[in-house]
Amino acid sequence: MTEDQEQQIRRQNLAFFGAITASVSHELSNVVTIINELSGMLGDMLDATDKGKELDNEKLRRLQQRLANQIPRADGIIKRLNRFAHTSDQPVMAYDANAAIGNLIDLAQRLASLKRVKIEGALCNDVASVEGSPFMMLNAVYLCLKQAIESASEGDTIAVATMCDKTELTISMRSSGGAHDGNELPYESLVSSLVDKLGGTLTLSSSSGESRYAISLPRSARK
Amino acid sequence: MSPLRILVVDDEEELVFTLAERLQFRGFDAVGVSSGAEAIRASDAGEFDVVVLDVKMPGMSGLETMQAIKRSRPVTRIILMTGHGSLQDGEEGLALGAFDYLVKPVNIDMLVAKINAAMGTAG
Repeated sequence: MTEDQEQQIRRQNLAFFGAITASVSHELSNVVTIINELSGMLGDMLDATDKGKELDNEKLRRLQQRLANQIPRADGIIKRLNRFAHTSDQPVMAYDANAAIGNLIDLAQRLASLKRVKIEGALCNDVASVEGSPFMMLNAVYLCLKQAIESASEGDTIAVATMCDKTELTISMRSSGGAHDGNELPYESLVSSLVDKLGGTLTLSSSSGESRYAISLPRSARK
Repeated sequence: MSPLRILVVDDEEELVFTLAERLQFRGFDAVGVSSGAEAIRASDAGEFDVVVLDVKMPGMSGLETMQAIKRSRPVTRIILMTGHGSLQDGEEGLALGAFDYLVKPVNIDMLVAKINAAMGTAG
């Protein structure tokens, strides 16, 4: 691998971390905005009672419930970010690729939803233990997802699947937009470099208007 | 004098309906919708004095929605809502004809002040 490619990977790793944390900060900001309005509504109700209006206990209970609903939502967002952040703990580690990819799919849904596109995961049931860098693997998968989202049309679904055998894990993504016509895709060389670094292979293909991305990675013997 | 008609638009339903209710509490005739397409339909169906519009929405963005509303109802005042990381969207909105923008979470008193200012300049 050339120094240029190494540098590209370092830049992309930082860009990937930035893209995910920016997206999560938007999601958390939405929760804070809702809490702001609901607590403001409570204030409005109290102001009204100060002016002699009777306190509506039923409305108060509903408001409390609506506020409480934001707690598991925020908790879920924070847990996803925390799981993602720990994928960069060590350059090489044993990890469950299915759990990491499942988490990435959840994190990438916001990006997809802005284009009214859905990401659906069909991950193998087995614990897919791999030795390597989960962060770089996710970076490669994310770039494929980003490519698929950018070329998808409103209402499309991007399917992500994993298949495992004793020696290899294959992550495949299928999207109805942006059929691969033989020309290099915008993120192709970056994904290729990342997958090379992981000791795997990248295959791009298209048929019947569908694009397919497949990343095959060596799998550790450990389970 | 009839109350000002306000349309609140955001893909977060919990936010949009709460904000509309809080504006009603302050004497406005406010309703909420949760997409750009719904906002355009609502604007075409009834005249709103001010549209309070989120910039980042799935599908049709706030800026696209604003331009569509402005095409059919040029006098409607638009106040955009942006996130902390999207201030440039707010600035872009101003360049495209928004009256003003606010950063979320929105301070209700500031929003009311901007709505009144928007109508003060409406002549």
